[in-house]
Amino acid sequence: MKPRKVAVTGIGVLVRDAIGVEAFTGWIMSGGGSPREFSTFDATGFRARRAYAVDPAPVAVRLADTAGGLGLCCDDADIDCAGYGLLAALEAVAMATLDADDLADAGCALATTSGGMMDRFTEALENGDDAARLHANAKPASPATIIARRLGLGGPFANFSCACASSAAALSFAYSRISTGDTPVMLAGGCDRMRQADFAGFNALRAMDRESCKPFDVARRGMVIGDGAAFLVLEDEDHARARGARPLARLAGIGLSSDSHHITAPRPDGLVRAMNHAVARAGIDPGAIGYVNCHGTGTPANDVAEVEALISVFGAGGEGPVISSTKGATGHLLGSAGALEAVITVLALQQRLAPAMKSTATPEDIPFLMPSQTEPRPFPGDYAMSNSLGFGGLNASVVFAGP
Amino acid sequence: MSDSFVISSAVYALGGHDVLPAVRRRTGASFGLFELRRLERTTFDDNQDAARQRHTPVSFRMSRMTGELMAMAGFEPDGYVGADTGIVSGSSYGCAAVFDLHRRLCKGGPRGIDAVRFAQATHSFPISMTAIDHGLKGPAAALVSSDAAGTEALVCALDWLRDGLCTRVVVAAFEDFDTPIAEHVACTMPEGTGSVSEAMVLLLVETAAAAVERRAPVLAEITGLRFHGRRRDRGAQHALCLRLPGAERGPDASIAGADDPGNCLGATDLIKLALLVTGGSPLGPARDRTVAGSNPVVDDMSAAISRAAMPERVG
Repeated sequence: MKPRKVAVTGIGVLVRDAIGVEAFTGWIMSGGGSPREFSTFDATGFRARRAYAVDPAPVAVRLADTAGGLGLCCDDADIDCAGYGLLAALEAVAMATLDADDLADAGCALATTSGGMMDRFTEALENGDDAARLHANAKPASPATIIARRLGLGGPFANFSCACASSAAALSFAYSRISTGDTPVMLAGGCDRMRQADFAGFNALRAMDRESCKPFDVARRGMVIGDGAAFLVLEDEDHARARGARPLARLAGIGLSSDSHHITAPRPDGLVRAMNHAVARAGIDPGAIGYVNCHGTGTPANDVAEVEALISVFGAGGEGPVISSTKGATGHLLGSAGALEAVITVLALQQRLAPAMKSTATPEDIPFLMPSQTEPRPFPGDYAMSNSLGFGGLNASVVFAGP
Repeated sequence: MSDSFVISSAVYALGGHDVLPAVRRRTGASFGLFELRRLERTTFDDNQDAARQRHTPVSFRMSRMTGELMAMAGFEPDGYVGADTGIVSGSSYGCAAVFDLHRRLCKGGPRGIDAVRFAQATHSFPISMTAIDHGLKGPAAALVSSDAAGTEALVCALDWLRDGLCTRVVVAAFEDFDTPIAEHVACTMPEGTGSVSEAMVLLLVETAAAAVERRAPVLAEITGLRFHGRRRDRGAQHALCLRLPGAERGPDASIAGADDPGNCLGATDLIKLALLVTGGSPLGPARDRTVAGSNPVVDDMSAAISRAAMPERVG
C-alpha cells in the first residue's frame, strides 16, 4: 500500500504571553517575550529564578468559555492537570473544522516531561497528608487521557516522555498512524506544567541562564524554562481535501536517532543521522530546506554540537538554510518544546519568515544566516525543518512542506 | 505490511521476590490486602562497579537484559552496534526516579537535588543508558502511556522498521514500583485489594531479511497489525497477528515453567507475548494467534490474548 500523505490542518498554541495562534503569530515573529520571576512555586532558593511561566487563571477562564461554547464539560481537576493542553487542542480542532464524527475516529499522541500530578501526590505523601485523595490525574499519561476523553478521541493513543525529544516522537507516531491508514486524523502535541523538580534539576546542572536564554550568541550561558502547550491536527491529505479542509502544511518526513554517547552531552553525528533520515523520507535534498528551527537551547554544549551537525548536513559555505532558535522567545518547554516549535515552523513556512531572535544580541560567527533581534528573516523554498535534542542523546528532526 | 518482520528473541523478569511492606513508608497507613510484587534487586544493590554507579535499578536491568536478548538472538558481542539497531520502551508509570526527585525536593529543598540524580530522572533514562552501554544508534523513544504501553512500543518499532530507520529494534516494557509509585498503585486498587507485579520484558523485533541473513532463530513472524476504531462506547484496540514456527522448537530454558504473569500494568501485553512466542503460554500450541491490547483510556479493558480472527488489514 502506498503511504498516505500527511497534512497539517489545524494548530493550537498557548504560551505565557500569547493564548491562541492569532495572538501568538505576531508575537513570535517579532521576537516573543523575556523571562521574569513568577509565582507558580517558590524559586527564591535557586540560583536562576526566572522563567516563562504561564498564569493558569486566564487559561482557566478562556478554557471555560471555549469548552462551554462547544458543550464540553471540564472539571477543575482536569483543568489543573491538562488545561493548557485542552485549550490548545480545542483551538487546533476548531481550526481544522473537525466535527464529532471526525473526532470519534481520531487518535491522540501526546508528549510530556513528567506528565500528570504525581508531584502533588508525592508532596502529600511526604507531608503525611491524605495522598489518596490526590491520586487521580497523577500518572504521566493523565493529560493525554483527559484530552482524549474530553474530545471524544476514539482512535490510536500514545503518550511519550523521552526528555526534549518527546514531541517529535509523538509526531512520528501520529505520522505513521496516518501514513499507514490506521486512522485519517491524529491530534499530536505537547502539554506541560512547569515543575519545581525540573527547575531545581536544571539549576543543579547549572544549565540555566540567570537572565535570559540567548541561543547562538557569543554570550550564551544557558536555557530558561517555560510551560504551555501546542497541538497539531495531522490528517490524511486526501481525507482533508475530500471534506474541504485547507492544509496549512504537509508533514513530509521525520528522522529519529540516538547518540549512544552521554546522558547530558550531545554529539553531532546523532543529529546528523536524524536530519538525513528526515530529509530522505521527505524525498528531497538538504538544499531544499529553507529554514531550520533549531533546538537551540542557548547552552554552550547544545549550540556547538547543533551547529556542527548543521554544517555536516548543509555545508559550511553559507549556502545552507536560514536558522533560528525560538527558545529565547518562549523559554524551553522541555517535553512539549518540539510541538511548540513544530507549530512555529508551520507558521514560518506559511509566511516564509524566520522569527526574530530578540535575545541574541551578539550572534556567533557561524555559516548560517539568522534573523536579527528585531526583524524576522525571509527564507526561500518550500521546506522547513525543526530539530529536537533530548537528554540521553535522543535526536529528532521533522520536515514540513508548504501547502 | 509490505515487509516481513519477526521476533527473534525474548527475555523477561517478573516480580515475586519481595512483597511491599504492609504499611506505607511515611503515613503508617495499611495497604490492606493489596499485594505488590517486586523484582529482585540484589544484583544491582550488591554491584559496586563504577559502570553500575551510573545506572538506576531500571536502567541497569534493561541494559543487562539487552545483552542477554542479543546473545539469545545469535549476536556476537558488538555485532549489533550502530545505527541499524533502535530501542523503544513502554510503561504505564515510567521510572520512579522521575518522581523521587519530587520527594527529594520536598525533603531537602533545592539542596536535595543534585545534578547526577536529575540526569537520571527522565522516563527515557533506561533506553538512553542501554543505548550508550550497547552502542545502539538507531531511533529511540520512551512511551509512558496506558496499560497497553508495551503494545504501543511494539507499534513504534514496526513503524521504524517499515520506514527503514533501522533493521532491528529492542522493544522493552517495564514497571518500576519504587516510592511513590507503589503508594499510587495501591490507591488505584479497588478497596485496597489485588495484586500487581513489577516486570521487565524485552523482545528483539527485526526485518525477516536481516534475521535470515544471519541465520537467526525466529520465534514468530508478525503477519499483521491493525488499530480497531471505536465509536464512542467501545475502546480502541490494536491487534497483532503472529505466525509461530513449527512445533519442533521447544521452549527457552530461561522462561520455561513461568507462571501466568498476572497484572504487570504496561508490561502485561509484552510479557504475554513473550510467553506465547517462547512456548511458555498456558494457552497451548496454536500456530496462529492474535494478540489484542485495548486502549484503557476509554474502557479500562485489560490486555488479552485470544484466538480472535485475523485483523482485516494484513499487509
